[in-house]
Amino acid sequence: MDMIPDVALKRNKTERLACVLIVDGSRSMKDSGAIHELNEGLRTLAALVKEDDDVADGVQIAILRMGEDVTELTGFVDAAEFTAPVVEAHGSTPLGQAVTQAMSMIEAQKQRYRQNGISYKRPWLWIMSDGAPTDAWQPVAARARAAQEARQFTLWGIGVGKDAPLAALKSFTNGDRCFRIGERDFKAMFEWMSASMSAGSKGAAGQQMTLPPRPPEVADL
Amino acid sequence: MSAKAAPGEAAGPATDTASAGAASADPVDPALEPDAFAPQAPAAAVAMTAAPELPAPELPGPRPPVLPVVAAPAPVQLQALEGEGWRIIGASLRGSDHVCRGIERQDAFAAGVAAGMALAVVCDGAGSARCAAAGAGRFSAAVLEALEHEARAAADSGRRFSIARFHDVILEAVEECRAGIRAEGLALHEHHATLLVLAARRDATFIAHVGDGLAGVAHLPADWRKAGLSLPENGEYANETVFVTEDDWWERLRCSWWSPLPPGGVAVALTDGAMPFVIGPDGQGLEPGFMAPVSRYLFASGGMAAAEALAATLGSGEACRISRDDKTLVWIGRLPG
Repeated sequence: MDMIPDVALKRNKTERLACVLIVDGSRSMKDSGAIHELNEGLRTLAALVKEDDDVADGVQIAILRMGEDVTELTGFVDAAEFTAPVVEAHGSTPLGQAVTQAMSMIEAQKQRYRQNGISYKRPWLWIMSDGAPTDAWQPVAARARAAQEARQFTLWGIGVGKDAPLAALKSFTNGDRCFRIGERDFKAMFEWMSASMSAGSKGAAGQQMTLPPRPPEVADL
Repeated sequence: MSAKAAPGEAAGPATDTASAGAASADPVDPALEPDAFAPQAPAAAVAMTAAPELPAPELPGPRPPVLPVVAAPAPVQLQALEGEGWRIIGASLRGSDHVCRGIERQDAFAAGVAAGMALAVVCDGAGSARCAAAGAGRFSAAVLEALEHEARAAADSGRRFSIARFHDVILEAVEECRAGIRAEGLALHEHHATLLVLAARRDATFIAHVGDGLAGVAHLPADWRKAGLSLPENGEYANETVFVTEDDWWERLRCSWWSPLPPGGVAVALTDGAMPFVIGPDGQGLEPGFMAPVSRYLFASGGMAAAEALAATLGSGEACRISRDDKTLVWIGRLPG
């Protein structure tokens, strides 16, 4: 049966999914060579998110670099417009400061959505780090866990390197969203992240988000 | 997932509220009802909230028992009927996301015409609920059956079917369905479903709404942007809503009363999957590019062929590109003459 003639089907309602990525720009990422893989992975992410119309239209991406300080490399931008920044590796790992800034960015973005009458889904926060934090992170970790309990955002921790100390990173999560990748596995991780954004952007009302299966490169701790 | 927060950005159109207790359980002439229930222009509606008073008020006569309905998870549900000056065309399709993941259709609807009233009940089962399809099927069938019974009983006894009675019948039907699920030893949360009810009479149009989905009432078919809407209720997040299977569901039951549809007028009830391309730009009214050709076609063509064409439209490549969710739309048209 043919569809009804002359019908115009256009999307008049878009729901936003805000994603913040905290990337590790510390010296150790240079020493291990992981920084090159990270930058290549970000370029992969930039290409993939444009291939899916739902992601391109609905997902907004921001990137924070933690090194000697915390730098906003990319403010919230539509995935369709996202260009991979170049992450340099020097400095330390101020993870507490980075997560504090990310949580503020998320709340500010929600406020913008509300002010503009834009529907939005629970935002995502991804942290990628190869080492232990170097600042006063414990209170921030506690606030992050409490914020997740209050359903303010969903947080994933990605530890980089098979020997990286990840106990601190894990303490920012609520238990089951902390994984480990090798220094050469950023591409696979970002491909999974892009597929997850696709699933998240399509999540229907009343539906628990089901992410795509993790690739073997993204392993449990 | 269920929402605990207050209605989000797309909150319902409540302007004045009245407690259910302010309305008599005995239907009265609308002219004598409190001002809170006076019909409004299409751009506004009166909302009322339910009071948690049970047991159910007395019914005018014996009612056949509501039997459990096991929703057949067919990928497509179609219905076309016509009577007493109304035409109803409905289609419900499994979304491409559900096809990919091997999940059954979790939307369901039921429609009928009884005692001059066109009725449509649309339910969207929660993806996280194991028996979502069954829940949507049970609640839609139970609410329709109750409304049809009440409409006929009211007509037989010469009573008017007031919005207060409309509200109470839905309250009772949902509670009875909930009790039936529990009596079978099943868990309510596994049957999470939203509820959207349209009742169109020659003298009024009623909407009842729990959760998301969208209902629209267009009195002037040529002016779709001015159609009145019963908007979805979401939590803070767009992919969270409320269900009739939650403990406090009756607090989230929104009933509204609209002016009657003239000949050529249209009302629609749809689930969230169809909303992106049916709601108007900026969330105002209904999308003319969709509603005008659909209504033109459905007024000109009835029967199952019309339902199939509606289904083909909802299942088209472009519709699936916009939304991969299940899509259900029930169209009610008041026939000319």
